Amino acid sequence: METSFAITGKGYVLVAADTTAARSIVKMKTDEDKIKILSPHLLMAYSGEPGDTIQFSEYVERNIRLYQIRNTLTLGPSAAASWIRRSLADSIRSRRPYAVNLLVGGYDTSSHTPELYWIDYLGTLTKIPFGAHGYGSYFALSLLDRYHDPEASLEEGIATLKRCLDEVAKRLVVSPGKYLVKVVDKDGVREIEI
Amino acid sequence: MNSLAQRFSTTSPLAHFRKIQRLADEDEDVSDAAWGSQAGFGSLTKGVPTFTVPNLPDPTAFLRLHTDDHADPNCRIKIQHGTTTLAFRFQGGVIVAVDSRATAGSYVASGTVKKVIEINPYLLGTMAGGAADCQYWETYLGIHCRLHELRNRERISVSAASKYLSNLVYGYKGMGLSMGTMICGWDKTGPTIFYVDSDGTRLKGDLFSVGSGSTFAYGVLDQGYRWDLTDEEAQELGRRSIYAAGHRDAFSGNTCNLYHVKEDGWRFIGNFDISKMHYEGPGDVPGAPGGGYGYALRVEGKSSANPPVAEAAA
Amino acid sequence: MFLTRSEYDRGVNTFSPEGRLFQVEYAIEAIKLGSTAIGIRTPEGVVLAVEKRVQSPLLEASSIEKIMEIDGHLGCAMSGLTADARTMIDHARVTAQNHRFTFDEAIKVESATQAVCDLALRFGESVHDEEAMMSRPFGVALLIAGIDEIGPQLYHTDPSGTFTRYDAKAIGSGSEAAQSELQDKWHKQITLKEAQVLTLRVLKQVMEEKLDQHNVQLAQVTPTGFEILDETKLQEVIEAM
Repeated sequence: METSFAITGKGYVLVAADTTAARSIVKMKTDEDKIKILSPHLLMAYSGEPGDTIQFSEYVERNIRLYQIRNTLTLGPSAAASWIRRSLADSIRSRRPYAVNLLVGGYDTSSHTPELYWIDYLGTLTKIPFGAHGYGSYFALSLLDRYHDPEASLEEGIATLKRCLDEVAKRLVVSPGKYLVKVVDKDGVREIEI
Repeated sequence: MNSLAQRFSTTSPLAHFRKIQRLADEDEDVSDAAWGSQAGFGSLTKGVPTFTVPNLPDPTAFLRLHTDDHADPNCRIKIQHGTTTLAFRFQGGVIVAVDSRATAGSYVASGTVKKVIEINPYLLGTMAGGAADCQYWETYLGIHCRLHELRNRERISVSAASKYLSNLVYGYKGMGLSMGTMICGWDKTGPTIFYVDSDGTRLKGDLFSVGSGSTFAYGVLDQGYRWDLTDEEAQELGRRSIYAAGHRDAFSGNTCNLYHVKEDGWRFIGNFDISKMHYEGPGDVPGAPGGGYGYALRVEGKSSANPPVAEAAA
Repeated sequence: MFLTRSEYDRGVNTFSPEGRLFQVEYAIEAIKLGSTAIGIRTPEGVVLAVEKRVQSPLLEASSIEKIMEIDGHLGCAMSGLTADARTMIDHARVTAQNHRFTFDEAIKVESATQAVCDLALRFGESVHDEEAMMSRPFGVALLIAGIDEIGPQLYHTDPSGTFTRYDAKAIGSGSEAAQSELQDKWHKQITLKEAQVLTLRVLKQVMEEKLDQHNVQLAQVTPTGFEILDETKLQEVIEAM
């Protein structure tokens, strides 16, 4: 089952997503990257209806790039998240909505703040210190309520993230195998081995 | 189909063109912005071609009502579902193997279906799901691959061809299209496989199997797969995997069609009878171990009995 | 040139009292400004040759493209406003592919030509409509060469949408001289090789520059398909002249 997590820490946002692409009971692929890098300081983990996920995330990617080219200005995390939410809100009122859930993590280079947004296919947007989508959220949210520290160093943050992944691996019947983890901080976006 | 013919029709073209454009304008659920410009190739009215849908408020519900035999076995339109298809990439190219059975419910409608669609000398597509959908849209894809070739003086990449197909079927998402296909070929980047289905999913990978028998095929395929397989070993693995699915899955079987894609295009290796493979093996082909694939034949003469030594001596 | 142009040379939809459509006639005139293109039909196949006007030594001659492939069995040479030809050829390509899609067989040469001419006629449609797709006739003539079940064929199309079959045809600025030369030299049993040499000879006579492998393009459609001759093959033909 698709699962994604994200947590903020001192100057960074950590985003993790499983890497399986499944169709009914079969894993079609086990190294699929479901975290899209939208701009130098912005990334987005997506999950949901197959097909919609890729189409929507590429649509967002291209529009954010277009904004950058037209205005020689990069959208900040909150502006980007608002635009994405609006797209999904329009979409759900159309004849065939995108069924996509997102975690948007970014680093606001002007206020030096990491920001994390939780967005669902209904067009709900909330700014949160940590969040999750999928079955993993049933285990991870309580865990993060207990262990999350807004001032955690990257190492501590990774350790907390690992707790989430371990818990899901231990308790969820159909737990995902591998995860891909990306971090965004003042230096931009990079992938992390865990 | 009608609107496709009209779009290219040369008789009274403007009237038809307008009609299609009107249809396209009404069909605004997929915004043009998502598809981008046509880069000067204005032969089609829109990025996504129009398609005649039932003239009802909710064509999706109509199609579901008349095509979904899971919910209603007496539905009027039967869609072919059972199949096993597989493709994998290895050192020597791409192997594509499929079965040849077509079923409609519990009825075996045909045992000689061509489930590999030869898009052009360098591209193959496999067929699982609706036979008509696969055949129609993959042939249609063939047109656009050829036009790409003529317009850009360069063969289309497997990636681009599969993306074209996935964007196309995504435009019809929820309208009842049913296809699970692998677009296989050899381009500048080497041997390549993309899995594309009617959900709009498009995955690049080394090894895929699609259809009701795919789990059985995966069982043999995953265990025997290595990147450095020789050509003969790879062909044998493809054949053996389809046999396994044909044997275990009631909706797959009859024969196996085997293709090998190399740098200079695809080559048809052969058609192999699955029952024959069970009892006698695939015949005199390179890579075959000799003898039937069937479990009973493979273990003939072997026994798990483990009597004490004394008893055996007596 | 025309003594009674008066007001009748403006609209593409208005005949003059003498029964002429001036805009179409002017479009045909535009072709006479174009570079010369020649096509010859032989029993073995069809040869197409065009003159490329290399106006500057800085111009990359290979980027001038006046012979194009329509499908595996169809080729096309152009003269006049070549930009218009691209639209027509793209239409022909789509039509050819759609024919294969619908009927699972190659389109006939005449049908492909017909499709191009249908497109060429659309300038007349719906001028009062803001949706009008075309504002003027195409300013280009084509030589369409191809092979089908009837054998090798050569067609000529002009901006009026008329198409005619020829055994040998020249279009463009040097067409008058070239056509009479072709009439002298063409015979029923002409071979492909002879035709190749003949096209170049005729081109040489009407070209202002000295003919070499950079300022001509030669192509042929034979039972094996459409082929633009590469520089070495072209050189061989030039040497055989």
